[in-house]
Amino acid sequence: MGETPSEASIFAVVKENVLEILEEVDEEAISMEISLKDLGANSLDRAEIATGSMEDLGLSFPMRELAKIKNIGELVKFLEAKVSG
Amino acid sequence: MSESRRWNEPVAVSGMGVITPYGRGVAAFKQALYEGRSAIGSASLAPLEGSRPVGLLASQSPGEWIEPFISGEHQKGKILKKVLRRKPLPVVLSALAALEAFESADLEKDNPGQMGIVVGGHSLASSYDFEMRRKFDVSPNHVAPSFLIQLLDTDHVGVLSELLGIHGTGLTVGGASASGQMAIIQAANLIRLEEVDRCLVIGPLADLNPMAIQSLDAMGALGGHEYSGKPTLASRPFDQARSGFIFSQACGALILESVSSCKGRRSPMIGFIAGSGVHLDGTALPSPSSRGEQNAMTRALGAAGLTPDEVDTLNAHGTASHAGDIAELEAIASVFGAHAKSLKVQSTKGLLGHTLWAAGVVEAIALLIQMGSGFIHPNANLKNPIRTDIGFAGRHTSQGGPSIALSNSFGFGGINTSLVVMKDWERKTL
Repeated sequence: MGETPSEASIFAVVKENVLEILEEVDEEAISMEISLKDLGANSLDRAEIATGSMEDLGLSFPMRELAKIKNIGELVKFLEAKVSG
Repeated sequence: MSESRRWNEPVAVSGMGVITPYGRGVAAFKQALYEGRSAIGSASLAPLEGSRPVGLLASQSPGEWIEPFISGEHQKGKILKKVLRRKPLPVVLSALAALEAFESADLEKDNPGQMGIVVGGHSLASSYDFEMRRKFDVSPNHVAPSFLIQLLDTDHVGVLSELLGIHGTGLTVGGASASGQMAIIQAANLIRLEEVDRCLVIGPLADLNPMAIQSLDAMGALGGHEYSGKPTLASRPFDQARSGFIFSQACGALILESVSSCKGRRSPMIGFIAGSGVHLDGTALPSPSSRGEQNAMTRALGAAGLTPDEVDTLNAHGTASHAGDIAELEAIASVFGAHAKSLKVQSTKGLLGHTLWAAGVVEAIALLIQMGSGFIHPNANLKNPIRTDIGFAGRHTSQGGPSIALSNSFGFGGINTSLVVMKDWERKTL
């Protein structure tokens, strides 16, 4: 395996999943600061995006670990910690 | 409602939509039936080895089916995209067939408030379920959070109600291969009970997963192995050289509506569901029962107030199964007696193959098409009938369509249903 994915590459994975689930969202609108809710995701959409990102990164963890995540940046950092952990 | 409906008053068909291997739409189906063209090709059918005769839709990709509506700026394109995103194939096809039926019934601009939805079939997401299992095996955490919603057959009801703004009753009914016809029967009953004025009936795609295919093959139900090089000859209902049913894909939709509602909104009536009969054999087995089939047909005729002699066409269950075809012809001979010879018995499965849950709806559509266009589609592969005391539709299309027809569907578990479909009906003045 190669080196650990960087924050930027994890953001790219999350972004790809956001675009797949929320087809109406403008790519430019997806940033580290914005929340999935503000992008128009309902609770099921948010769970789908998290699960898809988890799967794409080869991770496995229960969804409840994401309970306190507030925005995309926090999700990316959480996933980064999991990847390096 | 201006006048109360009688318990056995016919229910009108005011719209229909269908997706078959011939393409999307009633027009493509009509053309193929008229030409007597087989839908059966040769393809691999996982997990079976080699290639098999099978009737496959042009695409197995949900996205490809939705694409023309989105790119073509169809007025429902936006909502279709929203409601159908990431939905498995059976739901997408139910929605598209329903949309065609809705439009043909001119219900677009109506407020369909007093409308219901009945979806016939079960285990509708079995392929989706099977695919998700692969993710589950890697990690249960990878299972899509929305999995359960899609697993439920009522996902069809939810999607259709959102897409078409239907807020009356909604349910799924199962009856194995009689599911489609059972759905028509239950929808007609809802209308007769005045619970709804009109009802969308769906015969959904039977999207069998590889385990189901394996099981059907192991029980010896799938036929046509010997015709893998000539797949169009494989589906041979009532022929001495039949060897089991040919699996095929389709989805059908009907709008059933009370005659008074049709008249009230000046909707054309394509035909009428004039009576139905159901008989359970009292068995969990897949074996057919001539007696049970006979009872279903007799009840349907009784409910329609018809004598057997008044029937001109019989759209048979006719799957080309060894025992099933013998039992059905025996039942037909018993019900119709000497008149059996004058009937035109046809099996749409000889052209299309067996579409399982969809069959009852798709075959009712086949009858309504023939009534409307005035022809009888052929039994293209019926060379040597297993009985000669019964009248069969010929091997080529004949002119002059059905007027009063019986349609049969028989399902595993001894579920026998029969339906009277009529071209014309007028309430007799008292």
